[in-house]
Amino acid sequence: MKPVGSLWIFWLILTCLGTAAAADEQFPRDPGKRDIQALMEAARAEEKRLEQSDALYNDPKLDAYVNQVAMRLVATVPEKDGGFRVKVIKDPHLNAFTYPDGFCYVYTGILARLENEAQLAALLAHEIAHYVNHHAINGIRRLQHQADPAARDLADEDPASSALVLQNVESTWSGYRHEAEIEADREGLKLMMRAGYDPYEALRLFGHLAEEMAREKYHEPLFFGTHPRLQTRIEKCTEFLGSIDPTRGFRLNGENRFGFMLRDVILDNISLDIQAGRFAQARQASERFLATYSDDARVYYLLGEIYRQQGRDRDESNRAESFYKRAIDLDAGYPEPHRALGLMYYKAGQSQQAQPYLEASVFLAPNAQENTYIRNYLKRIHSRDLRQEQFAYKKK
Amino acid sequence: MNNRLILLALIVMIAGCAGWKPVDGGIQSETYCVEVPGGWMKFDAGAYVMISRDGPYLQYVLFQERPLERPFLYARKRLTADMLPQEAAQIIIDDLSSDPMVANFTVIENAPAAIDDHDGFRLLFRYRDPKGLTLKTAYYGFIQGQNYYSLRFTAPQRYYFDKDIDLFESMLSKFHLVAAR
Repeated sequence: MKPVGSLWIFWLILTCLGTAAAADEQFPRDPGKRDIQALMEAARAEEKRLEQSDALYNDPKLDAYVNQVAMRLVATVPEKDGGFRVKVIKDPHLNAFTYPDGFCYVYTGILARLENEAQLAALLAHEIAHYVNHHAINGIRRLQHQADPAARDLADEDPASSALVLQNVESTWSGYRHEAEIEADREGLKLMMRAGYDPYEALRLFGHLAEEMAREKYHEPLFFGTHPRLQTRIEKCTEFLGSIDPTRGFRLNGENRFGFMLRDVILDNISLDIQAGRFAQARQASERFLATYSDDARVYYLLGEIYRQQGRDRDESNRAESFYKRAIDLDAGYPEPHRALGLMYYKAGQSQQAQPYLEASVFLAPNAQENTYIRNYLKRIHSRDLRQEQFAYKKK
Repeated sequence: MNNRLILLALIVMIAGCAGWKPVDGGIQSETYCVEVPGGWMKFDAGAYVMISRDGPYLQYVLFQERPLERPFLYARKRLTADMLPQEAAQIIIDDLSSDPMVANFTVIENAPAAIDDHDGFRLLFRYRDPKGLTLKTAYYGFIQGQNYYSLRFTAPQRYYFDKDIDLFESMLSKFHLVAAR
């Protein structure tokens, strides 16, 4: 799935403006009413689509945890709003977005990159600030008020085909979005402080995003906007943090609980990175994981996969082999490294070395989908052995 | 990827079936040939040939040949000549499942297969398109020399897939490489 977020919200708003212009005239020309209704309906339709897809990570314990952190933040909002909910999407990109009705979606990619609960709080506080300040709804109002009236009339005539409307709306939205992001940053920091989280951790979150944007050469806005603007916002946040009393104790970062809750997400996200061919990110995440959990067989298997799938030279193959063996040493009942090692040997023509690993993988996971391949390879190894035996017998 | 092709085919059909021609016995490219029964129409896009009898929304068969070095649309990985069929299948799964237009992508079967005596793989998978229709695909792929070949049959899961899958399998048995580049 490609990154979505504020760009999606823009298109949602644009669509709603278009549909509102083309809708029936039973509503008065009261700015916003129809458009907001259309925006909410579009958001609900999109949420329904997400619910029915397999895009959600669906881990009840993780969902409960991120929502607990969100509720801790929401509890500090003067006008409490219970409508904010968080769900996790399985996607290795660094992204999060909130629909105008308060449903927030956070990607596994960004969760896996965070180092502690305070950084998670920074991410959620930013999204909560968007929601409680009605940024999407205010955005639609701004578009209605600021868009060139002539262009609006043109949109009423033919909303879909008007490049003028699009240009006008884009420029207004872009300016508004930047203002909204700055406000969400500032309000988010205040929320963090009120909930007792260390607000300086928000700068670490910005750092992760800047690093990812540089690595991936993103031009499209992600969660925190385009790079030059990201830099401006880091400066604004630093300025704000400089104005607060450093003696006040905002020390909560919840490292232990966070590490425990995110352990599986990090591993699953490494698998997603590998699947997407994001090997550099997968390797970096694996190495970070290893620094905390050096006895987890799964991370050694994933490191083996990273080096095997890249397979650029003999050295990488050797490293893959040693990581698979380490995974087996740590957990002899783990079928995947057996299968991977067996396939590596089989592919290299080392049938005798491949055979025990392939047999073990079938034994350990008798219902694995890949077993049809493995049984096929084993059959070939056996028939080759048989031919060699027959040849040796004839020679005798 | 499938949906882009469907969309492309639909656009072509709306434009007056300009690109669609009767198959007329079979398909002959520079590197492969396949016998096709009467009544099917083909759309030759160069990089692939799509055939359908009742229209691509009801069923289509796609024959595709691609150089190994050509990058995929979504997966960043590349196919290589020394890959095992299982490894190639995984890259195809990664690419197809990363398509943002594809939802609920589920692999039902992933198994070795021989296509014209070449070692390859067979995938059976289903997915939902943006309109909510569940489609099912039987996908065969293999690497030969510096090229990758794929043959797939896609139809709505309900009724249409079962209706023509045997026909596709019999087309497959009449697929032959004539010269590997």
